[in-house]
Amino acid sequence: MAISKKICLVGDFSVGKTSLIRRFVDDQFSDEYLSTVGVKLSRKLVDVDATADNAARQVELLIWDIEGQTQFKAIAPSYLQGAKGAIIVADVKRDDTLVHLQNHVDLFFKINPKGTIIIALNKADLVTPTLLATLLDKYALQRHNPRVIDTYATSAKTGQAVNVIFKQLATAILTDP
Amino acid sequence: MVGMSSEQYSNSDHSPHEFAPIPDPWEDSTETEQPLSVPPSSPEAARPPVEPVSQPIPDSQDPPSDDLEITEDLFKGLLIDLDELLTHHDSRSLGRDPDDVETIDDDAAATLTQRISKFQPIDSSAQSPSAAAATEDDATPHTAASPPPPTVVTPTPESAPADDLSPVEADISDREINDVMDLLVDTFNIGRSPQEEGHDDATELDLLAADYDTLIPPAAMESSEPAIASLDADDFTGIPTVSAAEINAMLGIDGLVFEQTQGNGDENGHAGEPSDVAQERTEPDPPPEPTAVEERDHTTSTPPPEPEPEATPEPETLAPIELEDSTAAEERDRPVSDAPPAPVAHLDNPTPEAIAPEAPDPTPEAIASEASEELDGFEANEIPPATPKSFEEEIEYALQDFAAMILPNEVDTPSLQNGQSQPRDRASASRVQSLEAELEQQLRELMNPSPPTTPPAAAPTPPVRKRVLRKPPPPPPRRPQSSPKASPTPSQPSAEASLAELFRAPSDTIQDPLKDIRQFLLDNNPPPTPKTAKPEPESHEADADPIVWPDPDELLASLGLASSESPPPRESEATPDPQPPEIAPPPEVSPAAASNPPLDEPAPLAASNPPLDEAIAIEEGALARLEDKVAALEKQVYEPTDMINPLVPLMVQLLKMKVGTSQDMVRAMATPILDEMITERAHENRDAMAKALGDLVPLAIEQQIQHNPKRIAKAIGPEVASAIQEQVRLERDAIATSLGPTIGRAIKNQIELERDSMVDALYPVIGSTVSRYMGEAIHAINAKVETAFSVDGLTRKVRARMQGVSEAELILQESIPVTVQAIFLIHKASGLVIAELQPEHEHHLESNMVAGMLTAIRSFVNDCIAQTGTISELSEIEYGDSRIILEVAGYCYLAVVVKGSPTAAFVKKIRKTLAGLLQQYGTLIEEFDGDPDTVPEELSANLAKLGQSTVQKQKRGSPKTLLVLVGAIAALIVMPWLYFQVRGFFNHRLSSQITAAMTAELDGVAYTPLVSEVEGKAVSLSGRVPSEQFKERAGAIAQDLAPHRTVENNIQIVAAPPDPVNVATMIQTVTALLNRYPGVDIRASYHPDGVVLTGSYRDRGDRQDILEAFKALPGIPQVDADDLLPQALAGRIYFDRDSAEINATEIADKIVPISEFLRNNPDLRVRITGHVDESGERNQNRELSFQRAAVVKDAIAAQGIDPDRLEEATTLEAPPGVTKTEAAWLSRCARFELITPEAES
Repeated sequence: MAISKKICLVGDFSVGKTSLIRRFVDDQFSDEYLSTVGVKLSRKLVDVDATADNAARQVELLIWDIEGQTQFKAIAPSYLQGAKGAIIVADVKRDDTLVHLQNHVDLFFKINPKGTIIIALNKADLVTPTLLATLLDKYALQRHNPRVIDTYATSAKTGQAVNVIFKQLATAILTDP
Repeated sequence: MVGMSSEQYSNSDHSPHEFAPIPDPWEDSTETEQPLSVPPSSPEAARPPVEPVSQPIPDSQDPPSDDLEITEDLFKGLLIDLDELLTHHDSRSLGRDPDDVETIDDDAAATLTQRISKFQPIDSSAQSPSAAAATEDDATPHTAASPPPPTVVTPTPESAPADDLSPVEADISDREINDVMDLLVDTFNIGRSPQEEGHDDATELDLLAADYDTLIPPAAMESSEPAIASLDADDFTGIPTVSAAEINAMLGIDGLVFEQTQGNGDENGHAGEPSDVAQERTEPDPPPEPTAVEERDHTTSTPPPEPEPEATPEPETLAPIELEDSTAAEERDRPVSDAPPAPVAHLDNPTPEAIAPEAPDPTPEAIASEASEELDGFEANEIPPATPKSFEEEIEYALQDFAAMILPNEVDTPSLQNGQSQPRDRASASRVQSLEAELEQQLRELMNPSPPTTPPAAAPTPPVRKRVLRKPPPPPPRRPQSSPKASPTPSQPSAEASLAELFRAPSDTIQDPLKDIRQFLLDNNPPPTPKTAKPEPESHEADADPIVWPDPDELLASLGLASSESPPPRESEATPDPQPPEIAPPPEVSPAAASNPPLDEPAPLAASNPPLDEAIAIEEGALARLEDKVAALEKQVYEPTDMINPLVPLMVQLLKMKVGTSQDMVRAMATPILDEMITERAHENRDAMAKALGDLVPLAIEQQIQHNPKRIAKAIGPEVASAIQEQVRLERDAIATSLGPTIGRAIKNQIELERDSMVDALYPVIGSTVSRYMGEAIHAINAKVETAFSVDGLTRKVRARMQGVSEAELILQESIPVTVQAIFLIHKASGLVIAELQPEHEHHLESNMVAGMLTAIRSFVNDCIAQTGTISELSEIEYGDSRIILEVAGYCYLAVVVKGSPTAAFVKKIRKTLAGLLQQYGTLIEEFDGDPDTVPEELSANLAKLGQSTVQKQKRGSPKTLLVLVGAIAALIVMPWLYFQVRGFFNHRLSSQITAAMTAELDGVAYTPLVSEVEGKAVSLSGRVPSEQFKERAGAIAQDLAPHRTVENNIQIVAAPPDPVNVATMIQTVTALLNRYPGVDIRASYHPDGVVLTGSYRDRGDRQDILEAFKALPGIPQVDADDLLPQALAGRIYFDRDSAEINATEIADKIVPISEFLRNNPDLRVRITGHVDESGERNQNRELSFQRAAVVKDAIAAQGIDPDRLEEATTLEAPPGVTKTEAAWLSRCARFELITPEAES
């Protein structure tokens, strides 16, 4: 049987968390913005390749699409409880969302000290590669915290790096002691 | 002749196309009697108006009368053709190129030929407008007309009426055409003679509007021709040029026609009259024409600077012209038509041949030819430099067509004419013949010098066919006419360019040719006939050289005007020959000597015109010029597009004019074919048609829906269903999505509007649904009701009472089955499922999703809804008839999805299970990280047990336990009763036994029957017995019989009452005994209550004894001893009547003893009561009694007795023991009583 893991997508509102999930789970994309209220759950089986320590396994990712943080409403910490990993999402077109990345990372680790994080700079299709490169460098939070695996430029619209982040996160969660 | 024939040939070919549409109007008339029909129509409508109006026109034209008139007629005819082409032909001829044409060809050809024949006659008639009616008229008008316009005009109308009279058959179509013709003529007239314009009164704005553009330009053109070119450059120039070109073409054509007519005339073999006439005409004509032209030029020249004036005059002229012209044109046409028959006869044979080979092609060719002819004129004028060959070819075609046209007409007409024997025809024919003869002569002369023409003749024919053949295959996009032309000419692509050039081309260039032609006309016109005759031969020659050339030559020759200037290339002459031979061969030619042999034709013509030799000689020079001109024209003609282009605007204008002037007619003409046109087009190019109509269709539908929704509905209605069906078949979802949102609203709306119908509509569905559901519910309820009085029912009642719920609620609760749909053990923090239980068959829930969502909801409730600081848990989520029971523990919670309402016991069970799980697997649950493999089987087993428990619970819910319970209760209720019943029975038996025993032994003694009662352990006896002895005996008996029971002996012992007699005796006895005592004297009276003792005793001891003695006697309940006194007190002191004085004796005897007694018994107190008798008053008696008591008291007191021991009392009653019957003195006494005797005693 597949092992189940809860992961969360965290970030400011309208950075594309739901779109990333939709791209990952259904391989679809829509420009329409539908605000997520509360939590939306998705589920997908991910094959995690065999590593030195573990055999290949299937992971059932229970993806909690958590309502984005707005200036009026913080993320409910209880939604983060029990999550093994999180994808912290920011919008490359909105600097404030990028700045908030660290806050979200801190919040997540506060609740799940043993959790794993991947950072997704979403909407990468909207900016130039050079800008992307600088952003990726600037917000490479993995340098400061080993539990942050990596930072990716993603695009739910083009599908860029979407599957990668989920799969890498799943792998990290599974291989993590 | 030959040239003519060839032209006709070509024309005939073209004609069918053009006339295909025409047939409607023309065919009718033509079929029966073309010649006849034509004249009548015109006269009827046109005559009256024509006369006055037409006059001006003819006047100006008349001078060049023959030519001009002819040209006019021709022009009209051409215009008509064009009109027809534009209106009708489009649909048919355009759509089908060659194949279709074939079918139409014959008719069309016929019509065309007829048409052409008319033209010819027109020519002839033009020469002599009245030719048909009366040669004289024709001759006169021409001559007269030319110089004086009015005079000329008059004759023409006259001639027209004459024509009309003879055959009066006019088709509307003819009129329409005539109208168009008129319009054209108007334009023509305007061009020619502005003077006339002034004359013309009537003006139709429509025409003007339409014509202005066209008309003005021509005028401008003309004006510009002479001097000014700049003016032409205006936008209008293009159009005007065309008109001018048309005019020129007309002129040229006129010449041709004229020639033809002449030839025809010759053929007919009519007398020389026609020839004479022709000569006459020709002669007069030339001078007038130049003048007219000049005049025009002047006039036109004037207008150019001022376009407005031109325009104004034009309209005026136009309007009147229409009417007049129409009549005039008709007249001319008729004469023409009349005239043609004669010539037609000659050509009859050739026509069939021509038609036969070219049958399929003819229509396009004809059109092309016509167009080409017209175009030729224009183009030639417009564009002097052009590829010679193409032009030549074109001209050839035109000529051939013309010839063909004429030929068929001739064929048809002659017979008809013959039958009808129209004088005009003959007259015209004679004229024509004469003319022809002249022409022949001229031709012969010309031909003689150039014999080689014959050989080329063979050549030309083939080319014609070739062309014909070529023409059909390439059908041009626009119209068949253009197509054939384009095809033959290799330079189609260039055509467009040329077109563009044409349009762009400054009017100057165009004007130049026109000018040339006009000049030529001016020069030539004076001797029209000879010139015309000459050109023919020239054309023949030209034909001979290059196949193509002959036609243009002929054209030029006919035009005459232009040819003069340019040195004509002889080459073209060769071609005409071949054509003529073709036409000539037909037997018909026989009448016309020249026509018979193809080659000969020219010869005869030439021969016939010997007298004109001189003129011919003169004209040869002109011919040379003509040829040059022709060459130039040829070049132009080479590009068919050039030819067409000028036509295009003309057509447009024509259409405009036509539409403007007579919309109805146009409509009438177009309508019958419109549908065919459309269908044809649709066949040909579906997409284009769709594209063209596509834009309009929605709009049209919209309009129609707005204006007449019902009709649209009616039209679409039947197909809507199938359309939807089809759409549904093709794309099922599309219909659904498009209709979906509307259906809801529609239903709503419908419900608002008509509730009942909706109800009816839905009833079958809803009814069954509801009824099924209700049926099930009712079934269940019925079952409950049936068991209402069963144990179930009873228990339910009891439960309802106990729970304080209505029984119905319980029933409902029991009706709804309670099932566990799923049980999840969920990790509290992550929301992952640790263990789950889901029935196999049920819809399988996605456990992790459900668990996650539940967890999220829990978190949400805790975070957002629960008050901060308080720990509250979501315990149940209810949805529909199901619910999720959440039982939360530290690190996990149990979610049980239950359908129905679970019992409290089940909830308790859940808690118990959860507690058990926590106890057993607490750490495992706490550390659960999503790996199901770490969860032991037992955990799931526990859940399964929980799930099963509910099921068992349901089973236990059956009322058996209650039944037992109730049974027990019933037993409890019944058993005591039974017990008492049984015990009662035994008791009863025992008691009766005892009673019997007692009765048996004591019955004699007992006063009442002795009764025994058994109550439990007690036996009570009742009854009466006289003595204790018997009572005890009875008790003993009972005790014997009920040894273990206590005997309660309630038997009463009853003493027997004493016998009163015995008592009385005993009392007497006792009394007697007592009285024996000293001092005792008592008496005893006995009554049931007791014994009353009276008497006296000696001392107190005695009294005591007496009382005891009586008390001891049985049967004496009470002893009354009140009156028993001691002896001393026993005596009474008697008084006298009414006195209270005590006797002395009394004192001594009684008071002293009493006092002694009292002294001896100091403790005794005595009451003294005074009595009185019944006499005296009551008060006195009372007083008296008191006094007596007091006296006695005093007396006793006086004896030394304490008075306190004495007490007096009064009474009115007699003293005891004294009755009223006794003596009164006994009552007058005072008696003594012991006050305390009782106490003492």
